[in-house]
Amino acid sequence: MELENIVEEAVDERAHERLLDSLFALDGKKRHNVALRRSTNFSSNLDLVVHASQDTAKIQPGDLKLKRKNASFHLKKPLGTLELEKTKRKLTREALVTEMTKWDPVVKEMRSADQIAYSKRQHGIQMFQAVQPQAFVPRTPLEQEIYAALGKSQDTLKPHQEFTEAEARALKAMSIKEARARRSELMKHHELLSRIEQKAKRQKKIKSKRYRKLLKADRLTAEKRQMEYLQKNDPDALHEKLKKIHEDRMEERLTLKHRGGGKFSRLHKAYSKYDDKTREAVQEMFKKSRELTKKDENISDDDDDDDNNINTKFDKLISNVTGETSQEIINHNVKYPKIISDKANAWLEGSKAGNKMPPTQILNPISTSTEAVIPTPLAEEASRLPDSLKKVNSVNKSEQEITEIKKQRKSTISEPVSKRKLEDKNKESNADDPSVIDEVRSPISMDKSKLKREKQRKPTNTDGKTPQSSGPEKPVPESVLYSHDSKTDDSKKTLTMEELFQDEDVIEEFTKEKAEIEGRKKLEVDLKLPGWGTWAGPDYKKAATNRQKRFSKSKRTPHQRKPSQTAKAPFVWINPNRDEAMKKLLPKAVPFPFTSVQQYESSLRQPVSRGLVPESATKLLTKPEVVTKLGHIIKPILKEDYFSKSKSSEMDLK
Amino acid sequence: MAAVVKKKQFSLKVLSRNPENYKRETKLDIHRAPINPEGYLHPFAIDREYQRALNATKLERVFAKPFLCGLEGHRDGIEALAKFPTRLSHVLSAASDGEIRLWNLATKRCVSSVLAHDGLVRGLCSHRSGNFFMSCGQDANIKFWACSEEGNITQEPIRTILNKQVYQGIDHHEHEDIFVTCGQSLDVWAGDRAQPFQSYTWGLDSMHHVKFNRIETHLVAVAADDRSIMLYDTRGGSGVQKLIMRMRSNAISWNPMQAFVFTAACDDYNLYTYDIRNLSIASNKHEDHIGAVMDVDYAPTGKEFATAGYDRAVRIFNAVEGHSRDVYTGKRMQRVNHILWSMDNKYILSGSDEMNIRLWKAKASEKLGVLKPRERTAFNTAETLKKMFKDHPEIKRISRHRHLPKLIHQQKAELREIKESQKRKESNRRFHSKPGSVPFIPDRKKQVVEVKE
Repeated sequence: MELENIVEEAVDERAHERLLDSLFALDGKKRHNVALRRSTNFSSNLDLVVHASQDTAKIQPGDLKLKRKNASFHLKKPLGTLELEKTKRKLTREALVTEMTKWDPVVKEMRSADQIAYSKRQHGIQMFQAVQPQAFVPRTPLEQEIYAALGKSQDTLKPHQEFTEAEARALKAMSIKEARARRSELMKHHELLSRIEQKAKRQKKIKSKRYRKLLKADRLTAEKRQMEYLQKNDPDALHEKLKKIHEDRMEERLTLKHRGGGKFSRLHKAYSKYDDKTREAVQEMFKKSRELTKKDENISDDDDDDDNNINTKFDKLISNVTGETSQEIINHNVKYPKIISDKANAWLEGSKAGNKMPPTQILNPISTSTEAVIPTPLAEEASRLPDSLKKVNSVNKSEQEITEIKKQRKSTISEPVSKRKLEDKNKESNADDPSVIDEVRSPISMDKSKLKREKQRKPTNTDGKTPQSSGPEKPVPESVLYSHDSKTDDSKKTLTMEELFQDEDVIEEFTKEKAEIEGRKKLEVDLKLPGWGTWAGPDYKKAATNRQKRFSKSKRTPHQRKPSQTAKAPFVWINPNRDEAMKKLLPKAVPFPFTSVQQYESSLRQPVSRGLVPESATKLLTKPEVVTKLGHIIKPILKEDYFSKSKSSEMDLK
Repeated sequence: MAAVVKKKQFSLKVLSRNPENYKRETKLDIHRAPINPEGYLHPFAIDREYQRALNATKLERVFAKPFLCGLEGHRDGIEALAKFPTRLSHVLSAASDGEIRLWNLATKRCVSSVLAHDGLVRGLCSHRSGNFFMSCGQDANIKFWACSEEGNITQEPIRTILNKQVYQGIDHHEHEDIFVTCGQSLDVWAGDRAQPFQSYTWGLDSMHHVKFNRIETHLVAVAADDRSIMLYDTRGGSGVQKLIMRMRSNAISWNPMQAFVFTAACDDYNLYTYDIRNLSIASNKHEDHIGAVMDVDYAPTGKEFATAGYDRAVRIFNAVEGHSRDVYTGKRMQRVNHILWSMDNKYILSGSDEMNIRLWKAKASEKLGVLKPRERTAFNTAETLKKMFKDHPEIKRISRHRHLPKLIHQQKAELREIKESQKRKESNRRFHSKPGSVPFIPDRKKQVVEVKE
């Protein structure tokens, strides 16, 4: 029964299809056929059946609409493989995007972190058995020979042993008490030896020039003392010693020392053209070589052992070593003031007489006196001198350098002003007055830099104090130096300074110069064609002035001071090109992460080095970006570390 | 009469200092030098730091000697390099004559070698355990080899898979016992099966390079001959996306610290870094090579990567910057085909056509070996200072200067000219045509032809 019904329905459906086709054909249209996949459920057409049974005779089109409604019940035609794949990919992609987006905060954190340490493994200490180094085995014949010689000896102390074999044997032979005492004694001895050894090693490694100099000075002092001692007590020994020294000297003469073929001279010769100091050094070296290679006649022709003769030889030798005669050394403290005065005199005489004497001759006694103060045996005596006298030394040195340099530059003083000044000065004050040195020097430096002189002069006018300047030319107040014998007052000094410059109107000169320079600055070179820009003709004033204004405005650099600023200080001229050299070293634009100059500058304002900020701050500020441990494998990050399984499953559910 | 003597109240100030503040701990220590870090005492602090930075930069260039050694021994051009995930000192290399060698980097010697394939070795990768490695060759075999802790390779493969097709690349999964091979299709193999359990094809062209993502380990990126890069998800058993570029990409490297980032070495002399969520535009374009880029490998920190160029140079890029931070060249080094960044972030290995493997330092001027604390502080300070003043022209000039081979130098200038002229032409065209008709396309997008979904 049921089966029949089903078949009937199927037939009915087919008939219905045909009917529909015919109906559409009436309209002249072709029926759009929707491909449908039927489900096996046949009851889908039940409605139609019911409706049809109600109207037995005819099937109304209204009934057919029901069929359309029922179409949703049918499944669509399956997608092609390509489309199916596409959909699958789309789904995967969407899942992937959500999955990857979860990593965003992790990546962001990593990118913005100041420091990332890439090592999970804890630092562990592994205990290893101490590996004993292999005992020394002599291999080469020389080593074997030495080992045979030393190894058999029972008095050598081997490493990691307390006592030598002989000592150990001796200790064994003694009673316990004795042995203990002896042992401690030996230990002390060993310790002392090792200490001395270490000290010697350490001292050998010292590279300080100053230390070496002091050491040399000590040695010389000791030598000299011994010489003196021998001279008094044992002339024979002294004679032998002198012979030895003579031989040493001969040897030195034979060698190539101070010849000028060395690396030092080769290097310095190239530079000596340009650098005065280098030239001096080279000259000095040549002088030394000449001294050394000069044959000593006195010693060769002496036969008698006169006390006198020995004395002269002794002097000579010492002077070879130190550059000073013994007599000089002895009379050192007496000679101090005299040297100064000598120097001043000599200089003055030299300058007056158009420098008849070569400058080196004048300077020689001074140089010896200054250089030999420390290494002489009378250094103690020198130390007993008042402090002021010691200062003279340093002052002399610096002054001497300056004078030397100046003399080399021009042996005669051509500046008429300074000469006139000098002569005036000589008339007024006696030549022994040490203040002369200072004043003599200043006019020379004057022609070099007028600005400097101006600066020196300025404070004297206002404060009434002695002029001060930095560098080697720094004048030490002479009043301090000679306070123990002669007293000079400051007021007198300032007066002389004023007198010195009374003829010149320095201020006037300076203002003139300043105006000149500033005026020159203002004159800009206009490279435009004549008439360019003056479109209204040459007589049209306004445009021209406007243009000039614009032109000058744009040309002024930010570093340039406004004229009002310098006008306030008439004695000051600020160089507008001061920062030109610096500009090359500064960044031209604000670099990437920064948005303004202020921001960038503030990032540079914080020093980070050790010593400029506290230690802990340095550590913080100089944290490295990436920290890796030596020999540790860096593995890619683990998903489980960031997303626990439960959490990820929750996310999947959502 | 008697004056009253008042007891004076007074305090006596005595200098008392803690010896810790001025004494050394041991006599071997350096002397304490008290430093006052007050700002007003150091008016020239910044000037001094600038000078220090300048000096540090100069010293960096003085000490920049990156080449450590050449590993010699192969009798043919290098075809593949591979590193072990568990061993630092061992590295594998394969040559065109089918030989595979295992090198010890500490001793700079070849530990053992084996003739693995007939003809070229196309792919090489190590097992996640570090005790095995696999190779695929021109003879259409995939072979498994065991190597001992000391690095001795078994002379016979422990397993061989015979195939009908030649596989051109092979890579192993990070955690599971899965590996992929690529050739005419992308095949996923698991366990001991003799057949791949998944096989993908997308188009007809063969694929030449395959890499597993190392964080999201189910993702695979493949480079194919039709100038495309494809992404596959082994979980879902389907592809994800296919990016077609203007020119072929030779190699791909996933960032080991960022799951969604990979960099492709392209034939058009550039490298492109992509975010896989949006393949239609590269997140970065890395240019500087003057020849095709043959290989790329990320540093384990994910901050940098090294590239091998057909222009006979190895370059090191900062992952987020467009230009290389350093370039390594050798007088006799030929076209570089393969590159590796060691797992401890210290060394780079490059395999080139002239049968040599070269070992380089990852940081050219770095001091190797253990650093003393003071040394480390000094280096850190120098690094910070260099970074601080890096934009000052003098320092920039010194740190950027490289003495390059003539070929590279000239080619670079030529390329620059070409680029300029192209830019000029585009701007001219834009200027002379209807507004909007010549759109602005960012450089990072120009290489993308199509993204297939």
